[in-house]
Amino acid sequence: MTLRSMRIAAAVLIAGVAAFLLYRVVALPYHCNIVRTQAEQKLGRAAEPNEYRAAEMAREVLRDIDHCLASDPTNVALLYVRARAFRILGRNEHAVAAYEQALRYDHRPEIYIDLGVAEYAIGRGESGVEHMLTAVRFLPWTVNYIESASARAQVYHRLSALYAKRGNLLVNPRFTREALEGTEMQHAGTGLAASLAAGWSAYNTTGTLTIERVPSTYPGHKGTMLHIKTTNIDAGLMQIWGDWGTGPSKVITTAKVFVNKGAAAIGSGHLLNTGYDGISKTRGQWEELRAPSGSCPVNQTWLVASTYEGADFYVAEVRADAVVSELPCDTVTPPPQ
Amino acid sequence: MTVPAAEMPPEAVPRARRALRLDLLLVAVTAALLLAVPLYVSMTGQDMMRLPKELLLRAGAILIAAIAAIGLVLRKLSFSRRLPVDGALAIAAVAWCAITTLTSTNRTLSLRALAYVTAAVVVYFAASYAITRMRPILVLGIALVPAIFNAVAAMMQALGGWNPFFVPEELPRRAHTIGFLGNPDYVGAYMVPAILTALAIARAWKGVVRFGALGLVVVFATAAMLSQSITTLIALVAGIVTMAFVGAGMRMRIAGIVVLIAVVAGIWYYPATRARFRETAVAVVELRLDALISGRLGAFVAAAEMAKSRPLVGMGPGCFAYHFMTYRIAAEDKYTFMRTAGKGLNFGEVHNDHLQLLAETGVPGWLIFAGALIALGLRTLTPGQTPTVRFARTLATPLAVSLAVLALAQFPLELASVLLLYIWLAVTVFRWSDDVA
Repeated sequence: MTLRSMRIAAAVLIAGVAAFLLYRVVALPYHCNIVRTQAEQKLGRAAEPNEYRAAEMAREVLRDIDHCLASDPTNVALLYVRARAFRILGRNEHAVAAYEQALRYDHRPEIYIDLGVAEYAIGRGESGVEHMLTAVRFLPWTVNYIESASARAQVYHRLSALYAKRGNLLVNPRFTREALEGTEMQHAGTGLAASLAAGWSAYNTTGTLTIERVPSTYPGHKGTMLHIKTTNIDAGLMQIWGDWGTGPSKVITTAKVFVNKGAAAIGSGHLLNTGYDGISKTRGQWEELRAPSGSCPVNQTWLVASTYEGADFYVAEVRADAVVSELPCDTVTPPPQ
Repeated sequence: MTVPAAEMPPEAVPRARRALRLDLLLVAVTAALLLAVPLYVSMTGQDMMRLPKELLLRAGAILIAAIAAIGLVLRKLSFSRRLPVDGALAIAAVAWCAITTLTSTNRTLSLRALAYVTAAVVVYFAASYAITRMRPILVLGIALVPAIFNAVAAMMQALGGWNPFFVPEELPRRAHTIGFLGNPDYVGAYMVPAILTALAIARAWKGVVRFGALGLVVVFATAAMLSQSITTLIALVAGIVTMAFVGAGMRMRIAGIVVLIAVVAGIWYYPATRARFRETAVAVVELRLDALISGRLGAFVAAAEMAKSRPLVGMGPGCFAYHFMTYRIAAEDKYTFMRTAGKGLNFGEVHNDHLQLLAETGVPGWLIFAGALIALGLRTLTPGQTPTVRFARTLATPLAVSLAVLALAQFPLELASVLLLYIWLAVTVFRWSDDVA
């Protein structure tokens, strides 16, 4: 063989390798991207109530994506599609295998929650709850996909135990860190505004809210406390310590207050659904308010006037401690757009 | 340099012609790739833009590598053996990526990322080969023609005209402004180097070319404005300020200030952009860091934690998304401020390429990137008065600065279209300033 013909042979070989690579790393993924669209559309249709039709669709999807997964077993999107199709067919063991394979290449909340639910269905309860918990910790409203009441209770139990480990869930509970400069602020508007203490917001409905930073007179405290004067109900301090839909199912809120006029109320709950969990009963003396949260999940705490004419009170410390509980939330809604 | 066929001995001419054909093929494939990637979409795929563009980049790199290899085997192509500093940095990038693939926490994912980086480096060398064999107008045309199409498409989409892609009507106009790139932020990121290029052309050439380039600046800047991407506009301002004040004369400074005033006025005049900047200003005043960076705090903190856990080699190229959930959950236990940061957003990219490089490839990976930016910026010091050298000198630092700023809150290195444009322009700066550097 001459040198020239060897060169030509090498060139042909290179062209062959390039053609193979083009097929393997370009044409096939391109084709499988289209197959995925069609498969997801079919799975969408498989959600219809006709079980026979749904099963037909799922089997069709499995056939369609088979060659794509054979060429690229790491395609997470298609593995997820395969697992969903298996679940429609009631083959949860196969679905679990597909989800587990998908988790080797990507960690997504939807894979974790679906894997957990499928595992729970085939009796792998402990592992199932673990996977569901991971999904819920990352994306709280995935809890809605857990249909089994016992699985839901176990997830909440584990979740609340994790929150309980954190101790006081509030930041700056004794108001020692400052946010705004000065010793007094007024909020005459409606809603939230920055307050004197870091992490805390001034919350007002109507009228005027005045917050003053003064040396603490609570026995044993050496720092500062806040003096709150409101001219209307529901005005005072608020701390949003968790994001929408997140948080434990139950919290015990405590506050050390000294009421001069009106009454002060504490509450912890889910953002807009937070109410009065405990109301002060005394005046002219220090009192510890203590109450369990009223809505679920819990992610905010407030301390406000609970009398229509407003209130005048001091607060030295507020706490919100999660309680280990199996109490599940009914529905966790995603945040409004 | 190619020797004209007329100056060769007669027996060499047929051979040279054959060689020229492979030359041309290599140049043509490179140019076609640069033109096609920013415009290519797959209307039937689940992922209509990002994946198809990446696949096209892979296809182009395979073709380029095959042509080069065949040319070498058949002795019909020859390449310079001198390795310029930018070439050395490109090789360092791919070599480090290979090393971190070996040490990766998920080698399968890292191999994919390695393929992407290798494809980009192949295109880098192909661009280097092509640019020295093309006329300046073609080199600049390849950079700007796809930008024109994308800018016009983005403007029509933003203003409610033609849009070939389905975007639900209830979404704000910004969400419709996707050009052929897939996302308003991608449009913005793509327009930044295009605007700086047009400004550099306006400085380097005179007469009709200058006015034409200034016209393009208006078109591209309008598209960037309509994208309402804050990072884009900050990167653009940073680029223009650099262009006006680094190594420029008084006239250039005045021109830069005029352009800057026009950009700021544009931002202020367009209500949607003004509103976005106002939101950002409020977030700054209220120290709401997560709102300031559009809910990306979770991704930033997770990436920083990954970088901290493996500072030398990182988690491995392409591994950020794989570890994100785990690190995001752990960060919430570790940092109180993470408990109120945007929940449930599953980030595939950090939205900060500096942090992503640190998280995935460790400190050495980021140093290579920083070294490339510095090497590019240093070309501003190139002497010489030909239009191409003036262009290279004008564009060098602003291009580097704009990429560094874009990479603070976006991921230009992960987007095939934006990356290719930056590669093409960087190589243009390097090659056009080579002779006098």
